[in-house]
Amino acid sequence: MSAQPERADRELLRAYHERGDLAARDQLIEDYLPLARSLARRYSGRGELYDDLVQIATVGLIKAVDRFDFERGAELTTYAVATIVGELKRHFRDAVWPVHVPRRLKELNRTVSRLLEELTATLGRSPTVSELAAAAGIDQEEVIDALETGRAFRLRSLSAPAAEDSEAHPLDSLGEEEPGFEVSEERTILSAGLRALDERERRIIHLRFYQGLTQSQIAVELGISQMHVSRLIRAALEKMRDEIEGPVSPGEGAE
Amino acid sequence: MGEGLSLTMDGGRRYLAVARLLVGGLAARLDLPYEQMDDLQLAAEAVLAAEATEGREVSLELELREDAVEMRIGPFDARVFKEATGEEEGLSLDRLLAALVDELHVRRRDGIDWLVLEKRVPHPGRMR
Repeated sequence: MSAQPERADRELLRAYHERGDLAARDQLIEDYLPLARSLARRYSGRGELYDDLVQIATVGLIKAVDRFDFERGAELTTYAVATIVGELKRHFRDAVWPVHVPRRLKELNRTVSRLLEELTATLGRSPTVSELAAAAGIDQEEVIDALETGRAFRLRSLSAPAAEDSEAHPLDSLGEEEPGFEVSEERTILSAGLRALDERERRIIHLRFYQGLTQSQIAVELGISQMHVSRLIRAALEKMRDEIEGPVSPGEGAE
Repeated sequence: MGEGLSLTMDGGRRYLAVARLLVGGLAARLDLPYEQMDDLQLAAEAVLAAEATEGREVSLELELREDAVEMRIGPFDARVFKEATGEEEGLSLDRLLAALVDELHVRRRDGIDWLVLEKRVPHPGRMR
């Protein structure tokens, strides 16, 4: 990138960071979206939808713009590339197929996920399994298999830090056992688990269970696919359960 | 029981995927929209994963009613439902389920408590 755009970037960064000019922030994000898309493309073909990767890269871009530090002397381009790639790598580190899933099922899952978005937009409502099956040219049972396969796509291991900027292990925050704990309290699912979630997970849980937004509304709000929202909700709930009850031992879990 | 399905299995998290497939299969037969199917599946998972059903045999019943799907899980320990305290910190099972289904109550049948979850369906199909 030439010196001229870098000067322009710095002016916009100063306008945003020093004067709170949100239009400058938006301009920077818009200017650098092609970079985010380009980096997302490099990571496509690894089992994730390109559109989802663009969203993840965009999150990295926004972080780069928001956290840019003039004192460090780096250009925004350099910092943005590092932050976006970091975000993409973090996603792939945390999101892995836990068991061998046949390629065909992975492809079916991608197809059904894409059709789910397309049909929701076209129909103005969530499609049925039979509509998904007809659009994909497969049986209803295969659609259900594909959806189930998507749920096996684990988003975050228990050993991952509880929050992006935290080194704390999720299980470190387990509370002391209180002998006098009421059964109803003890068994109230997930009550204390919210602290184990990172910012995005907490936001999704809040939108779904406190604000009452539907999956598709959350998908629009966050700019990710419905199936991704579904996976994130399950992953968050599982993490909250593990926070309270401890992780499921090997062979005990169904997923 | 009218048109429907039932499954008896060990409680807890071991057979969540089996329960999910059962609910998904029925939802597909009823032509429920994906979101409603996912809500029902998540509700079943949440209840089965709770200690309310841990460590014992549990039955999951699904029944098509006039304008709704009724899902019953029992035996169910109703003590898991925290009394409404208005606190914003936690996410209790009842709050979670309230966001996923339209009706929620405990019904006593044959001497045991069943958690009854009802999800209204906009255009109920028939079992095919």
